Amino acid sequence: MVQWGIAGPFVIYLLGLLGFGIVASRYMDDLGDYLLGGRSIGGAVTALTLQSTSMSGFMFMGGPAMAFNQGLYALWYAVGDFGGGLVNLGVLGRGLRQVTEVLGSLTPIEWLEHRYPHPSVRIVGSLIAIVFLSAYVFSQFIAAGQAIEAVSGLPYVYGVLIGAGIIVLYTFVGGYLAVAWTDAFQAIVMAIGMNIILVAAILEVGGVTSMFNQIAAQDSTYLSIWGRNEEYLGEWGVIAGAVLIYAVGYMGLPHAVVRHLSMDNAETAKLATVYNVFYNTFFVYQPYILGMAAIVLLPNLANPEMAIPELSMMLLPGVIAGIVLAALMAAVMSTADSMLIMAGSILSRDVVQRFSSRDIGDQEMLLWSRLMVLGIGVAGVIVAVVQPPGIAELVIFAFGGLGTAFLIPNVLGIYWDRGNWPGALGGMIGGASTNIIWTAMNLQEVTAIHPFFAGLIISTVAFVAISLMTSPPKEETIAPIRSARESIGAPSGVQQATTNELAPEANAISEHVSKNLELNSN
Amino acid sequence: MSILGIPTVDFLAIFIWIPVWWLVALFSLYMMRRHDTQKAQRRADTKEVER
Repeated sequence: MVQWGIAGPFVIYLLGLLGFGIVASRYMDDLGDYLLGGRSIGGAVTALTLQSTSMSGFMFMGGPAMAFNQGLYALWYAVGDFGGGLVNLGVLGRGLRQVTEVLGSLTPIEWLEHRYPHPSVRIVGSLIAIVFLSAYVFSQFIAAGQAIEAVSGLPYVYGVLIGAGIIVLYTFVGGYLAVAWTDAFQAIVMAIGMNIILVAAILEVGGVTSMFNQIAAQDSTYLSIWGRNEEYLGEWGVIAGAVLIYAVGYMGLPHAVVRHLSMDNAETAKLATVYNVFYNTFFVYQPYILGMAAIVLLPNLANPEMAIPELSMMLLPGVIAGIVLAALMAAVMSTADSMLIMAGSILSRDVVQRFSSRDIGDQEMLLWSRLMVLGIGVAGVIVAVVQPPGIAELVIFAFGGLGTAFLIPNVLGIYWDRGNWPGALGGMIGGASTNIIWTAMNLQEVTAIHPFFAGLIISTVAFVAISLMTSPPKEETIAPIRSARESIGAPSGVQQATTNELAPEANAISEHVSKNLELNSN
Repeated sequence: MSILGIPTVDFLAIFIWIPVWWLVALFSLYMMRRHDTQKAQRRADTKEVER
């Protein structure tokens, strides 16, 4: 039975998002506009889009479920998440913005090849990114369908078609700018929705202290930082992984890192750090606390992932519950759209254009990018409807796989001039494969070390050791990076004049390929 | 001893990070501004010497 009191406002909200796509499309002139919003995004939008992109539907479903099952231990993830955007902006923001403009990099994978000049870096990087990003997009579409079905009563297939259809449409039409604007808007909707339901839940249980007292009365270990029944007592490797996965992990996610590339200038990172922490104060801890509130309010909850939707329907009138549903969907959509545009960008820029035998013009690449976004979007809808086996398993590896593959090459690419392409390749493969093996074989149980933490250690060791054992990068590779780094904070005009035009770069690539061909034929 | 019903040590371990992250944000803002000011000063000095 469709609950139109909830579904109605929600559908209107979704249609409103389409408006962002249409407006954004009016600002679209070239590929740089489609992939990076013309590098014109300001501090507030950067802070909000970075955070809403980084936090997926997990914040409304997985996070509260973990708190429902494990109690206070789940908040270790919030501890890291609170500082994740700040660390990302502080460590990578200004440097990556400046360097990628000088190098003309339009995607995070392209930046890696410019910094570590070897085709294998782009091939391996693109492969890892496309597989995991696509899996992530599919999972978010499935989550969108399930959420709409559970709360509004619409059939699952309609839920997927409505939720995913809107995302694909505005991303296809408006590109990165539409994604950034809708993300910023949705971040605000998420915070409002989350705090409405939190206040309602706390009032219902008779206050914060009363809530925690009632939880302790059920099982006092719910309030232990070591997990329910003190499952992780003394396991600092597990705690460190839980904190680090979000505190530093975002620096490895291509769809989060691209936010640095799109800032209007390097100075934007300064403001964005403060906006980001301000926003997190009103959002990051709340979902986990709500999960704990559900221990008291919904003790017989069959599916803990539905804690927040169930609480909202129990505590709020229909229209307000519709806003909470919109907030839940905002979390899903703001991540899915960013992954969609990122996967489309990597496919078009890092695969089609990079390995094409001819120069592809700017307007043709714009078309390619849109087609890739549409292609992945349609594939995502089909996968979400069919739900083939293996998709859920792939998603389990996605966040850790992306984070551990790209984090170290990204950070050391800015700060360590000695890092070279074999090291970057080793770091990517070592980090991602360790994370996958650790998760698949459940090595956390044996070693008491979180898969993300293990992947990060192996990635760092592999990157540094291989770089030191092989030749240092050429001076002409490092010189522009050093010069870009030096120009951070310079008055305008000091910075090297650069362009996002594709033609010069395409020519440079073809020259490079021609030289290689000549060398090989000799 | 408890704060809002949570044992004090557990409460602090989880919630102390909110003010800590705020301090880190403000400190990094300060450091970025100081870095820029010093760099601008060095540039100005270099130009002065060149003249």
